[in-house]
Amino acid sequence: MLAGSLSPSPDDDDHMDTGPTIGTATDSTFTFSLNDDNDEDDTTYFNDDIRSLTQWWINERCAPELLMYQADLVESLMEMMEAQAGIIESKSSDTPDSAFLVVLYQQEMERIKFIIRSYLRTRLAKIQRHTLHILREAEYRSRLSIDEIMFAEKYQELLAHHFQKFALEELPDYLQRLDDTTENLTMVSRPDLEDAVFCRIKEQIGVFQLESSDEAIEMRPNNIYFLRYNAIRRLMEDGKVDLV
Amino acid sequence: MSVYGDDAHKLIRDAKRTAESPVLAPYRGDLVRNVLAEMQHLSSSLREIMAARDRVIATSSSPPTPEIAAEVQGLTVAATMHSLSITRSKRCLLAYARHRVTRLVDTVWDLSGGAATIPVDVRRNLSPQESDFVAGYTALVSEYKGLFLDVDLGAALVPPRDLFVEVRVLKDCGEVQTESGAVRLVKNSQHYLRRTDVEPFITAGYLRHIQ
Repeated sequence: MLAGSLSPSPDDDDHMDTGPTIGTATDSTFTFSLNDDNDEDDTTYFNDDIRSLTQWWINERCAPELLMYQADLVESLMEMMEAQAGIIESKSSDTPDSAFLVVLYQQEMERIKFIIRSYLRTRLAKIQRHTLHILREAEYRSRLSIDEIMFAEKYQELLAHHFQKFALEELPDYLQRLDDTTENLTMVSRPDLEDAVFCRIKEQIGVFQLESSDEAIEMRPNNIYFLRYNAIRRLMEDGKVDLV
Repeated sequence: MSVYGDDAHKLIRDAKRTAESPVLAPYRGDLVRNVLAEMQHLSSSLREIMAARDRVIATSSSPPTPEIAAEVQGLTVAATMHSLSITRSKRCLLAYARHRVTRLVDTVWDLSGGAATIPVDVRRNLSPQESDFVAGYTALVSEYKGLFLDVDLGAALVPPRDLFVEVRVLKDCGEVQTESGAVRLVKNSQHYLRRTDVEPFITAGYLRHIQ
């Protein structure tokens, strides 16, 4: 239950002890700290779903490409929130103490809602940026939820229709395509996998050979590196590194 | 007539210059039309050049004399130039359209993915096609939002700090239902309310959040 998530546990203060500061093109002044009150420095999440989704959310925001949709996590958190809403309703807020507890519960729920909301919106933003590419590549397509596929397909339809009406329909047929490729330029925009990301090593990996470079680095837990996304992409998918 | 590609360039400059402005710049239908006319003109002369080139090749002896070879080469270069100009203009047109679409998408979300509440000063800068796009996109967003009613996808992407916020009423809202009962929001009054209850009103400009 979420109630447990508010109890402090001193042995977990290495996790998220500094609030990650994240900025993207969609909202440039975005900062979020998981413990924005001084007395919550050792907040932990007993429920692993919240922690996992939080990490997936951070990964999603930092990675240049679309990641796997975490359907189970989102669903189980949604269910949990429903149950939690029921508990809040049944709690009376007669005494100051219980009223205070109810506020804490509600606040916790607002935070989880925020993470889910931001997670879904981050994914939508990426889908809108590379719609055609995502719909065409089987690998990316499989990372979408059913609802997201619906969204992507309809969005692509809207875009294509708009471009058609805007200008293309007045041009000769051979100029109407939306996926021309000339030399190394293509009209289908794709994510830049060479983008640099910050990542934190979670477990002992040992000497790691960087792709497309002669350099090898020794990766120890809790080290933070600034690397090309391509190099650590597989490690992140295996859950061996987190993006920060 | 102006230099080829000039108007296409103007479109891009216009988009870049107004990229930071808070309100989407007026749609430059005049420029778009010029670029399209230019492209049509270019592509009809491209057809003529290609036809001329085919004629020259067909009537030449093989191997061609040096004069014929030079003429074919000249026509090929002309055709390439025309084709490149056309491709470039298409790119500029689409970049311009795409840039505006992206701005519109952001605007729709800023209004919490909400209904037909695009402000008038944005609305009058749109082309009819863009208005259609906004309508279609708004419908799509509300369909998607409907799948996640619990988390209210349209709410601001700012981490929640306080459950309750102090708000001042800027425009009369009448009686508003909150989780703990109805409140009358009269102009210039101040209230301490649950953030989730009043957030739509803050986004719509009826209330101001007092820090």
